Amino acid sequence: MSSSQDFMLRITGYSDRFSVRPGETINFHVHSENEESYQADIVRLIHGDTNPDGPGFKEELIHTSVSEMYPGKNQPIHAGSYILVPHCNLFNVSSFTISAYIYPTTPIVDVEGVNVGSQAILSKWDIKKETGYGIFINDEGQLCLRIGHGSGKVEEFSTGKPLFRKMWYKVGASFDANSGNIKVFQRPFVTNTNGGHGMSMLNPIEDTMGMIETSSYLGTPSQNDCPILIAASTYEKRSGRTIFGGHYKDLTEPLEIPIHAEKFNGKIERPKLSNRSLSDSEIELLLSCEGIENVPNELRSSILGAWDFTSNIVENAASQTIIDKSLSLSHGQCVNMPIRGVPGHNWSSKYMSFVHAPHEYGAIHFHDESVDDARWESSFSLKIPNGLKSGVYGARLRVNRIASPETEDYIPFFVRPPKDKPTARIALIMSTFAYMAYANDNLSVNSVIAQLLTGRVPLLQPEDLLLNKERGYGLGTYTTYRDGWGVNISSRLRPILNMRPKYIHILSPSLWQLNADLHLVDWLEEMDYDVDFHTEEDLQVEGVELLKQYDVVLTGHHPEYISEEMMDYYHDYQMQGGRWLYLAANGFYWITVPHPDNPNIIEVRKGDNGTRAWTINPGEYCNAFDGKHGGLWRVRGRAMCKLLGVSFSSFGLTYSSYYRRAPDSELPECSWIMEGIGLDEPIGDFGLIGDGAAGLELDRYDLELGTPHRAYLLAHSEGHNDMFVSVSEESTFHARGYFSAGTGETNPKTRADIVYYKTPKDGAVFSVGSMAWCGSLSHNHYENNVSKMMKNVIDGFLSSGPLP
Amino acid sequence: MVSKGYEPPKTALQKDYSFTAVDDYDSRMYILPDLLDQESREAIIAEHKANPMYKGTRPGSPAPMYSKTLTKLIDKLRVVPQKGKHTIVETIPWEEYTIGILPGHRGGTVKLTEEKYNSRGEAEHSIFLKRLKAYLSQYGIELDK
Repeated sequence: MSSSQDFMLRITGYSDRFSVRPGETINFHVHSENEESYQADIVRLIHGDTNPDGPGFKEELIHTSVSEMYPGKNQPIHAGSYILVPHCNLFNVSSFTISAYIYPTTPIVDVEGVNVGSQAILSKWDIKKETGYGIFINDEGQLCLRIGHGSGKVEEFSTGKPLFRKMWYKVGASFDANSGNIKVFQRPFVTNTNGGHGMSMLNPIEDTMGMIETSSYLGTPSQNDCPILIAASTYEKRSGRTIFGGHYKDLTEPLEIPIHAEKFNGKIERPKLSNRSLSDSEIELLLSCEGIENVPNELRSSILGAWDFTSNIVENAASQTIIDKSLSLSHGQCVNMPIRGVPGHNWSSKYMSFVHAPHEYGAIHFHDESVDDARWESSFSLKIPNGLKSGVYGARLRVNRIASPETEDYIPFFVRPPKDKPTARIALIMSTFAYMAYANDNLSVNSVIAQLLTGRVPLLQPEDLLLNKERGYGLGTYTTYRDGWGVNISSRLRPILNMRPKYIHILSPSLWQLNADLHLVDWLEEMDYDVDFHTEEDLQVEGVELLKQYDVVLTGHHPEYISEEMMDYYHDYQMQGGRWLYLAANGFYWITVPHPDNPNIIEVRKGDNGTRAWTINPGEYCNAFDGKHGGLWRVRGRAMCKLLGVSFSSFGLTYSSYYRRAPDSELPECSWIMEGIGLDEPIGDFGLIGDGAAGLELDRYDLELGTPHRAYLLAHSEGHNDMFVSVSEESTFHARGYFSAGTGETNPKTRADIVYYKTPKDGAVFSVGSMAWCGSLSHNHYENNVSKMMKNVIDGFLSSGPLP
Repeated sequence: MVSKGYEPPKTALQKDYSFTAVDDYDSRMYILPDLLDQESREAIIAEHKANPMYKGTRPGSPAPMYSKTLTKLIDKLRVVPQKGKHTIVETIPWEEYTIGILPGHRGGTVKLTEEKYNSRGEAEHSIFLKRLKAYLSQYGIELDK
């Protein structure tokens, strides 16, 4: 349990959808930490940067039926992935045997050295009433069998040997109701190839191999009507929350889930339950089968559950249904999205994808911090009024109407124009997949590298302290789970506390993602441009026809996470005459896959290449959601240069620099973009992100990576400091004095290039190659050369006829 | 039949001895020599105070960066373990920055101290001084006032 935290955000929430059109309804789900009442209002967000050096915070109150006080409710989040098999009386056994393979990743402590406590492998266990049975890892890291006969009457039988981290084991336990005999065992199953990065040389094996045979004094487990849980046990069998719809496409009606505990970290494979005490050879036989194939008749009817995790992973491993191959057909459902299609006990290293060899990928990896959906009650709803201007909005929440960092939160959402009726010629595609990928990192509090990356002590705001107390609300792809595995799933159905106006982000001297994108929103408003807002989710669903409604399409400052379909749609837009501004750096970088049945959840595998928060483990390169190789788009031959003209070159999460004009900017094809900007005039030596327009992450042209051959170089940055380093994918040999080992002041590839090129049918692309660009737009009351250049480009792109 | 108990190995390898040994070597060989006298220490402290978090680059001037000595020192100070590490909490936006102590594990409490500053830079510098004092004391060097 987390300890208390006095100074922290006391209210937060999320919405059931990101984007809405007039006439559609959006629901908001709110948690009030101390059950204090709160005022909710709808505001249009214009500028989220509170820096006194800039225009300041801007929002517009929208008068809606939402505006009133609401009673606050404390809504906890029940994190941790597991499999739920609904209760059935068959499972109230007398004698029984449980068997499985397990690969524990926090058998005693997590990677921070904190004791994890007991963890369930397979249980029909009622924590409060202490009834039922199950196999667990106890708090000394030993496999144990627990039989409950009611409160205070619990027997626990342990092997007496600790399980080791990152090692496969055969585990099992049996109880014979007639004789009272108990057997519990854990046997390491180590091959040359199956341990991932764990040991393959286990010597002596007795250090972790354990077995006991003894007797129970209290007999048959007391019955309960708890479900069978794999990787957890039941704290409260009725939580009032259900799973249904979305990624639970096989459920025909809502299924209530419990409140769970004793959450397991690690992999489980081939869990089976039988209704008698099996012999050692029978247990071995069951362990050798995925389901109950090759099991003789006299054994088949004893098997109550044989959950085969390979059976429905073929094209993808996205299904949440867990097939039971036993005669009872007690299929399970995954909750909080454990990771399917991961290497199992028999992984040979010959096949790098579950698509090619599902039989070697029969394990599921569970994490006690995973969240697929907070499943909070809806607190209030808004039907979007007709005529509401397209833009970035928020449900503003204030505890007792107090506007302070501890008592105020915003739930962002995006209002689109009516369907097929664009209200502008310009569209801004909000980077919602990137917002989700960056969700809820714990870098400020938990990452040793954070200060080296940023060159400063992270600044914590009240939302960071709430996030820390709640152990991340499911975390995001910029951090690891407590067992060291990278977080590769992110859902938007939970508070994303770093996706807020007024939020100062650890990765920037000021802002990042949504709040930084509001720099652009504000400038567009000040310049009086009409803009329609859409999200990446919308583009995913609607394709290039969405983009084709617009003469000009803009990105935000960091569209880093892009799906395969979106790559195609943007390319198609360019081919068909679209005019596109990439106002970012390090965009179109990571392969991102929305869940095939629920686009509110994305998956990203951070492969062994790329500038990344973690590295994928062996055999885990392929996305569960689509079965394809994950990681960088570059690795799949779709380097970002092909779409943008520039490639991610360097990053330095510190202060910024400026640009200098390059000779191509004087060509007749380009000079219109530079009108009003002197030849020797530094561009963007000011700004709200690090005091410069070139910063955070930098892209440069590269003809070897697909920069179009007739692209023009308008400007390049210079003067980046020694915190700027090369991106790791550019490094083969890392040698002092050579590019990959250089820093800002020694590596000429550490720069941002502004590139412009034409595409077929009078289209064009303008790329700035910097994440700090938009932060400079408001300088000097919007009278500056960054603003000037932007205006030249947008006005030129809006004009009809061919470009110069 | 009951398994015999397990005695975890207590080897130097298990305690990550080499890492600590080489880290200590690097400190003694490459960082401490520049911190042995008061004048050098004062110069480094003044350098950090003037530029606690770096600044934007201005045309015609080099990027404001630290000297090699301060760079090596501050990189070493920044990678101390998270438990007990100082942090900065924005208790009043743009006006008050409070020094905090990190718990070193997820879900733990971030302790707010009574030490407050008007700017993030001042808070950053005060943390630098605390860490420098702790680092030097490991090697028997007392940081002067």
